[in-house]
Amino acid sequence: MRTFQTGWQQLWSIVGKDLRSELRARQVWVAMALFSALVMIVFYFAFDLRVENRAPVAPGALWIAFVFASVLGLGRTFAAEQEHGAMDRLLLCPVDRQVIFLAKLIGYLIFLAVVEAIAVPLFAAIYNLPILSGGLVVIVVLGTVGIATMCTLFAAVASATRAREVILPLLVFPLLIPVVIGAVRATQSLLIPVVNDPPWPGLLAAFDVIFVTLSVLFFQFVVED
Amino acid sequence: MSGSTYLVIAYIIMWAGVLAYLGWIALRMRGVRTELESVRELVREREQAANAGRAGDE
Amino acid sequence: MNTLASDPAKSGQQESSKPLGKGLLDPVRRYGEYVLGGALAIGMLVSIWAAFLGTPTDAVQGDVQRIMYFHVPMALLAFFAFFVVFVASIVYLLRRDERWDWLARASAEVGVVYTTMVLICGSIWGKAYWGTWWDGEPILTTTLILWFIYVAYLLLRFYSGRTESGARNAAVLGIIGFVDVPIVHFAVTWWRGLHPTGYVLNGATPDTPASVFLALLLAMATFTLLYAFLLLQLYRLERYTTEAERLRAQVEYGDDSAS
Repeated sequence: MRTFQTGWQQLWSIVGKDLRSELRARQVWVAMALFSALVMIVFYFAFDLRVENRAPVAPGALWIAFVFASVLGLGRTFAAEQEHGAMDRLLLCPVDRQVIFLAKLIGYLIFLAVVEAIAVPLFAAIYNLPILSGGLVVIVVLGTVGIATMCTLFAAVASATRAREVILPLLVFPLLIPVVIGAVRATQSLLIPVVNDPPWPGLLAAFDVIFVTLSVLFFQFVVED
Repeated sequence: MSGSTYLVIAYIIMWAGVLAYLGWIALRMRGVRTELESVRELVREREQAANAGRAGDE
Repeated sequence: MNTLASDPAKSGQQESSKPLGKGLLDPVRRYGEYVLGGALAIGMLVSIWAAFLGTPTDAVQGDVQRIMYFHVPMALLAFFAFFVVFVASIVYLLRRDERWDWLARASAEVGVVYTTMVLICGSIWGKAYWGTWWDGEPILTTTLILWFIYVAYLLLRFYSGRTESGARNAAVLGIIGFVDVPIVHFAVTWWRGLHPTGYVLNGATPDTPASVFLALLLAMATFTLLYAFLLLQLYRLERYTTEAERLRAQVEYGDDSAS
């Protein structure tokens, strides 16, 4: 019981530390939200969206914006950490690797949640879609957990290489295809209900469970030194 | 194009690919063998020089 | 002689070359290679003969169906190669023996080469049979994503260099990537709304001539031999490269300590 409590306290103190340093670098939050909005605008023009094709195409734009923004933001965060040696010092502390991974993941999820809280209403406004509902919140949360998990694990992998900005999307995008398919389909079915559609939110939750389990298991090998 | 043309194209591409890959492996193998030889030579020279130096000291 | 034995450079060399002395595939290496190469050459010729002349022309697809005789075995072996990467990665993480890491790396490279061939031949077949180079068919799409995962694996290895952390990271990707493949296939299949995929042995009925299966088996054996042969070469390449790099580092380190 005591070890569980210490782990819990350590988790939140790392999360708090990360959030404070993120808060200090305020321009990143703004840049990420702007970037997601920009991706959506680019899609808006690239596909010449009209009323009849808006509902099937728009969810794709939303999720591409999120996936790109996640990779972009994370590459920067880990690079900064590597430069200041914060990660090395954290690894010296007597903290479980699992706790460190979960703390990084939670910190990053909070960061993404703020970005998405700005981007989703923008999306609904730009594409003029009646999409803001409780169901969307659930789908966004499920999709983001999957994306953020893989990104956090492989950002640690990529930061050990010579070309971390290039390699991170190459590592993460193929692995994330199931999550992207699930999230896009689930968002689409909010707009146009499909009969006989697989239970995408449930599948997304299953993907999340698998990815989080794998990452928690294998993070210790990535940061071991 | 008829089916057999596609068949021939596919076969040629595949076997050419396999042979090219084998050739590339052979090249890499030769490269690493040369490197290994030259490094071993270097180690041997270094040892001989060290031995000679010690003999001179005595 | 005594001075030679206590020479730090010399003893260091012996220490580092000790694990390199005995390779994982050592017994095969001595004589196996000639047997393997000979069998491979014969197998190639026989299976090309079997695919072109030994089997009847497919009634529905015509000659182009003969692509199957190397397409299917290569696809299965590519998958097997990635399975080997998966197993070798697990063993590497458990035992920390670099020979398993070499094996994983070699197998991933052969797997990527096979997958590339499968994708090229598959789309030529698709063009001839369906009329399109690319169809969003689940197995094809999964194979393409598989290819991307393992190309990323090789790139990761390239960018991390021959370090221990590079080997560990690659092992993690080798495991997670392999676990991800069924998930990708599942998602892609549901994405397309579950349409039937039984075209690989199109029209395999009880009256499919035995020669078709025989030719397929022959091709399977040949590509297995080719896989083994390539694996052996690449494994040895890994071994030599590691050895050379280590000796080189030692020579350079010796330089630094001397000056």
